[in-house]
Amino acid sequence: MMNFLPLTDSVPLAHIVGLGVAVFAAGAFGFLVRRNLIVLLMCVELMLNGANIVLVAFSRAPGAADPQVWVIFMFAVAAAEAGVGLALAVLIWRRLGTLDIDALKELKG
Amino acid sequence: MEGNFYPLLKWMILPPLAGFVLNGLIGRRLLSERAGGILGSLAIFLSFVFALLSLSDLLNLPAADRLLRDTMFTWISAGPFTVDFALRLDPLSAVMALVVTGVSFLIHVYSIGYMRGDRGFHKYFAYLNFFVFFMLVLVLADNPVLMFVGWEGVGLASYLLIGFWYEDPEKASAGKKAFVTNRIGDAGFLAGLMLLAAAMHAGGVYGLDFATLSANAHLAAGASFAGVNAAFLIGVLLFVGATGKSAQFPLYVWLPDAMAGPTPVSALIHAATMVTAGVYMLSRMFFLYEAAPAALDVVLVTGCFTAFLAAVIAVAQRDIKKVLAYSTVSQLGYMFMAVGAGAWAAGVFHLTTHAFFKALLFLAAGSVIHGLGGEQDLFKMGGLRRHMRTTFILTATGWLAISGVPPLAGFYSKDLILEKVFNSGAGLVWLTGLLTAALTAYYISRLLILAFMDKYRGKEHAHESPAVMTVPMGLLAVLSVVGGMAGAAWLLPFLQPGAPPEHHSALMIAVSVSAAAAGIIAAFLITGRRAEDWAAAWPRTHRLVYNKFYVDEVYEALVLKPLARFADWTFRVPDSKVIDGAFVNGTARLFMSIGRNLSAAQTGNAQFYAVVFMAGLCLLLAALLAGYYL
Amino acid sequence: MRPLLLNAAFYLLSGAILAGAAGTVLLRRPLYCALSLLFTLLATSGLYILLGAELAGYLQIIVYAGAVMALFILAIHMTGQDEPAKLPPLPRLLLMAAGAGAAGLFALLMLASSRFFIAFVKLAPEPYSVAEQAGLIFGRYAPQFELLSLLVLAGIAGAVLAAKKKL
Repeated sequence: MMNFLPLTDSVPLAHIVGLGVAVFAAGAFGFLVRRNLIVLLMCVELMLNGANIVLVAFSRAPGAADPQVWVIFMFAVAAAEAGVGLALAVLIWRRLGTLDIDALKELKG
Repeated sequence: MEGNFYPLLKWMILPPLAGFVLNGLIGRRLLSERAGGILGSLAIFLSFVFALLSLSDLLNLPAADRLLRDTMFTWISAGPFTVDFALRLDPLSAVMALVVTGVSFLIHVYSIGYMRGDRGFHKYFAYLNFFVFFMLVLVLADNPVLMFVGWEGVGLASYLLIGFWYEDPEKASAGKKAFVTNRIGDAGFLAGLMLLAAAMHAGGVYGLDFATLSANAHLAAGASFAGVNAAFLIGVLLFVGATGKSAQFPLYVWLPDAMAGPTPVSALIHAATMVTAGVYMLSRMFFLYEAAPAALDVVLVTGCFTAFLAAVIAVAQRDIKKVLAYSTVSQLGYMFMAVGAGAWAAGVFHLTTHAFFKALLFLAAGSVIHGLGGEQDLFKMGGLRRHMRTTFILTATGWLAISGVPPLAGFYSKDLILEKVFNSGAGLVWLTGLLTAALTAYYISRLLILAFMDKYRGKEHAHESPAVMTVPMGLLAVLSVVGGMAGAAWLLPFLQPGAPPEHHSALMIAVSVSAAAAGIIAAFLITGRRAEDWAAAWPRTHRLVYNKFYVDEVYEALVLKPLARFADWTFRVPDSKVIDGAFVNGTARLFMSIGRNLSAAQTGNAQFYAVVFMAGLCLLLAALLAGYYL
Repeated sequence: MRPLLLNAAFYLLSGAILAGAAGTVLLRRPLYCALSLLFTLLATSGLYILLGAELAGYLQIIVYAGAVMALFILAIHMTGQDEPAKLPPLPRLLLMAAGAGAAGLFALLMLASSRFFIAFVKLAPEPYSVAEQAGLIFGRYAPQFELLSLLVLAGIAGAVLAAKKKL
């Protein structure tokens, strides 16, 4: 599985999947740790991106074009989500004056 | 079981039921007092007419075979065990039905005058009809279960009528006392009934009607429960029930208190009919007692003791109704003595004559109370023979009858009982009975003297009662005079056809008449001009007797107070602490705390939710992988 | 020669992506995080092209690195977040728990997909034809495509409504 001597023009699938999962994990870690709302949204984008990488990898490894098409769909989804999310962030900024996620606790209890 | 479907029997019980419903539902709103009273009395009169017609049909049957039945519907059906709503007319129930409906009718008419102007006039008549309905169910029932229905029904009617003026808490609690004391007896009745059914079922007999029971009485005699002979046990338990209903020792304490009810109620229920239900029941079940003579001994001794005790207490009472109440207890004791000596027909004979003269005496007392505007204390009466002549004459008739002066009714029946007791060999019992007869004559003479002789000691103006009250009393007086002779000639052979004819010993008659005479003379001597001077002579004894030997107080201390304390403890600990505290409130508190603890998970913090999300995701993946690889 | 270059390209791009991800997660100023994310996205686009998913790669630049990041940076400026946040430090427990969680997630996901790891991906292959992809989008996945357009419409409407001062 771990082929570190690049004598062929192929890369083990494991490396690409590992990359994608690592980006996903990084995004997850950031989502749990950061407090700024906009940075949170950026971490969400990171997670989506990691998933896209895995999809593209699998699209290539078995050989079907389908997963790549899903990636294109994911772009649209991510764009819509980012748009609405940021609009909400702006609204929250206008109402509360802060983007600290710990200030958003009206659903407590 | 096949029934003869004689239809008149149900027509006997339906008019009182209809009267109850009508007077109860629409009486106060739609009917005038007169109409309500006439409706109630008419219902009973119809029952009486049907009873007479049934009697004549019964007489047309051959003497050994006099039985008319009607099975109206099947009430309980549980596998082989069935209980029908079946009515039965044989000589015993015919006599009872006639006494109940006849005396009832007279008292209904009397009540129209007595209860005039009372706010609950229609309710009163509704309750009275209710009572008669259940009393008829009791005497006409063809199986002990249905009889128990009537038994309970008359108990309820008694409670309702004793506490009729319920706004007075004392009267209401008198009703409660009657019902609860009855209930204790009823527990015995039920236990006996269940044992009887068990003994029957063990022998494969499932029908409980009286014909089947008397044919299979040997099954009870043969069986035994916990080492005690079944017939004896059942007999004693049923007698406990009779003790409650018929006010014998130790369950007689409710009857004097029951005088809180209207006087016609006392006359009807607590003299003539309901309290005799115990005697009737024993007579009905006599086939069982024949198989267990030891039980009859219990009955004999209890009846004798009660008769004597009650007569002694009556001697010192001041309230006219209380004297009559204890007198009733005492006379009921006589009836049980008769049954205990094996002569239940004599007991029923005394039941009949007692119904006549005791109802008469109670109605007369009611007339006096009514005429004096509510006064019941004998010491505040006196001289009424001048102010209330008719009542005086009628009371005197009752006085002679109950004292056992021949040829009035009481003499025949009481003398017969004493003879039977003597013939059965119970000498001490007979002697006590004789002494009680003397006491009876004494206390009733004392009542007559205090109320009607000498000068009037009260303040109210005494007036005679209207005809609607005196005419029924007059009829009862006539019955008290001729009832004995007629009864002796006709009743006893009717009840027990085939029994050998009675021959009465002249010595016995002389002895009982002299006892009566002694009592009367003693009363005139002692009571005389001044009231109660033996009270001054023996003050402590007088106080003891006047306070009814403190029996009520003993019950209060031994039974009621511990029960009340127990009930209070049950309320405080098991009810409040355990059921309310642990189960009800505890469940609520448990759920509230679960909720509160669970709501700690709602932090409102999105990142916290994300952590949980991720943890769940990891667990899910781990589970999937484990499932895949393991 | 060519394989070596291709491999080098792949690992360089991977490194860039990882570095950019780290930067997004760890940098203090939101603006710097956004720029780091931009860098990541561009690198990812290169990766897609290297792997032969050309349509995806180009669209990534246009949509993701272009429109979405522009939106992010606009939002950062609009909400005055281009200043470094003056926030108290995070509790260590939280950091360790999050780190452990992320690591665990990484391990589990790798384990889950380990079945396929015998496969190899050819670098710089023949890319899929656009016609083939269009055939998929408008053919087999046409319903999803239409739903997606609904989603975008909803997003537009939501954003516009959210921006209004008075409804």
